[in-house]
Amino acid sequence: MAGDEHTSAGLRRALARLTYNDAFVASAYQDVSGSRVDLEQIAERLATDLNTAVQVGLCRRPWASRPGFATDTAKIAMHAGVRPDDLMDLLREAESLRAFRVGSSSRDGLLAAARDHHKGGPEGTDVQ
Amino acid sequence: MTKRADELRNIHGRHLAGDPTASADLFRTVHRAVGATIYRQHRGMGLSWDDALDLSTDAIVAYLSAPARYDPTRSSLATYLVMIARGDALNLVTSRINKKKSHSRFVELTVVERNEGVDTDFSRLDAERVVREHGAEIIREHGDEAVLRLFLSGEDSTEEYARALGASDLSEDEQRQLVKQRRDRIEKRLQRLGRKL
Repeated sequence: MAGDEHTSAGLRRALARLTYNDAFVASAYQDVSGSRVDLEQIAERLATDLNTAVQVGLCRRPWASRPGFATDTAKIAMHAGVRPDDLMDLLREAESLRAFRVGSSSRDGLLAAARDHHKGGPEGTDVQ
Repeated sequence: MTKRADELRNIHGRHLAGDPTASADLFRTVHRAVGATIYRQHRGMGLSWDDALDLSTDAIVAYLSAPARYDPTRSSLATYLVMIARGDALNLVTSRINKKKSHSRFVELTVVERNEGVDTDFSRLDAERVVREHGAEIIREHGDEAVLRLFLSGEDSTEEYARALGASDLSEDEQRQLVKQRRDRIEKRLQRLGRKL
């Protein structure tokens, strides 16, 4: 179980476990990939290799909507040796997609509520 | 102090200072080592290498989300992480043992119940236990409980089931069809429950 190959496999497993944890860049990978993270595609977007993409994924996730986004993104990019602009684009897109998904599910909820109200309430009764 | 201990102290300081890359360095430095320690200590209890790696991941995440809980004057960060992972490993092993016991007991109950040679009082007693402990997952509509009790008691007579379902007035064919349908559903739910337990 020794050697770089196993270490790399172990870290990839860790990354996969962190895709649902918003504290890590791994969750941004999940946001841009949809149901299943395509690490090769992510590595391609960041113009880097798989191991570096894993290392970036294990960093704390900077959020465009929060202070320090540019500084933290640049720090991660420099640490991993990827282009800051590529990483920034990916993180921004991830956040937009997340907001869109949350927004569309809220909109669906509002539309459903509006339909229920139009029908006279969720159980078909008038709302007082 | 070893090179790794120095490195971990540095990572801890960087994480406290808000460095977003500290977590990646922590994973790179100790993830495999913590996993290997946990695996060595618990593989005899059925813990797999993948389990050990996941426990290592969870221990690192637990530390990262509350770094102030770690006191560098008391132990090295690697020791602290192993301690967290060890606690979780024991919980995981215990929970698996309990699940296995629960499953064996369930299988024992359902198999024994269908044994024709079984003592009637014993059958009734264990049927009560299945209904009490798992009834909510098996009984869904009127007549299910009666069918479940008859099934667990090893009853085979279509007539008995039809009577329990209030379908004695139906023709023999209709009774057979209805009883088969209801028994099959109960049996499937029992099998699903058995797999879940």
